[in-house]
Amino acid sequence: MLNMLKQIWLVLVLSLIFGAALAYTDQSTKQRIAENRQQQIRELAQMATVGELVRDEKGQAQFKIELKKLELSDKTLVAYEVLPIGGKGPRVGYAVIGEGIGWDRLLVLIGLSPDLSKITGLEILESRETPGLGERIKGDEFRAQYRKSAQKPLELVKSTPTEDHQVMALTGATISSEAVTAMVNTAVGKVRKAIQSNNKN
Amino acid sequence: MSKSNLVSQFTNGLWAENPSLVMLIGMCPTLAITNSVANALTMGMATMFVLVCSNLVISLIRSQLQAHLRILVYMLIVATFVTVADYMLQAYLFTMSQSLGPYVPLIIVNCVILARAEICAAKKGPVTSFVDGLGVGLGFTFSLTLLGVIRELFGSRSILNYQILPDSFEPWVVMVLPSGAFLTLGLVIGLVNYLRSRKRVEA
Repeated sequence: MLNMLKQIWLVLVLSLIFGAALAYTDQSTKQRIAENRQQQIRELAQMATVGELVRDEKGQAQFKIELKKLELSDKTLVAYEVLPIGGKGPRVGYAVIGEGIGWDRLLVLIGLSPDLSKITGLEILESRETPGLGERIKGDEFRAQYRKSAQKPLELVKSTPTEDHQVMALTGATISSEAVTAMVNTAVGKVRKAIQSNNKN
Repeated sequence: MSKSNLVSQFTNGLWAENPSLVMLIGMCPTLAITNSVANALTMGMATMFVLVCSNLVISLIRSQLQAHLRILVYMLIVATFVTVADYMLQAYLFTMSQSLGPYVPLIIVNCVILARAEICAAKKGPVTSFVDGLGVGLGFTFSLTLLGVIRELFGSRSILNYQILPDSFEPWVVMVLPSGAFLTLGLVIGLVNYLRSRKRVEA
């Protein structure tokens, strides 16, 4: 026992000290990191609903919208009501966060029209797909395909789409394209259901 | 330890034992994130911070290190400092930390840091180890930045996002892709070897 302690005391002491140091770092940066994420979600939500985001010369985003988090019974779903800044005027739309797995965790933000009938934009919030292959889901051309009616689940096809609800997969990135399409379908389906049942109550 | 020894320990890391251009270690970040100068600089600085801190701590506890537990202790120390650096980047340089993606946490397994722990920090005093960390860290930052300058200049016409080359210059897309990293690294290592061999002949 004594011999064992002699060998491991340093590891134990170091673990304790480092654990405390990490806890302190986490505490002192937590709020700022959360604010950064919220800022990013707001920027992407504006891109996905209004369609543009102007930045001043310092790179600060000039917001036209603000977000109000929706209280939904489905706690796994994160969705926001997108309102004009100051709350003046009609609702701009909704922003939903979809989560799924491509080759790694993927997070997307989907913009929806105020009546939930149309997808107004798709933005990639977090992705670690392969650069040059799966990471091309970030490209404008691929994402623009998702701006269409939200009435019917989207279908991924490998050749030129013939019907309106079809989206063309990226060559060499089928798994990532499939993941995005599935995430959009799930998130849109869930949020429509949740908001409609909220409105009834 | 005399002053001249400290100076040579410092310059050693900058040139004679430059991690990515001479020792050819730490290749993963060297190839992966040098597509822009800003990425390269941030990565170099983060690695230098971790290297200096881990060298210092390892050197301070070196007399207590059990030979068979040393790698475990190194990993513990390095992982702690990397996590601190990662959180700091996320809090204060959010967009940068997003563009570096998983490469910041990957500093934990950067062999430059483990190599310096074995070669220097586990054997020498804290002052020498600190200076060694600074020298090697700066050498690493320098080589990353050099690659970043070449790749960003030809791949995106700019340096630190300021356009340098005229619009009439067609950007070489290959330079921002992984293959451009290999090409640039090969050419730069070739140049460094040429300079070193010429120096040897003169001496």
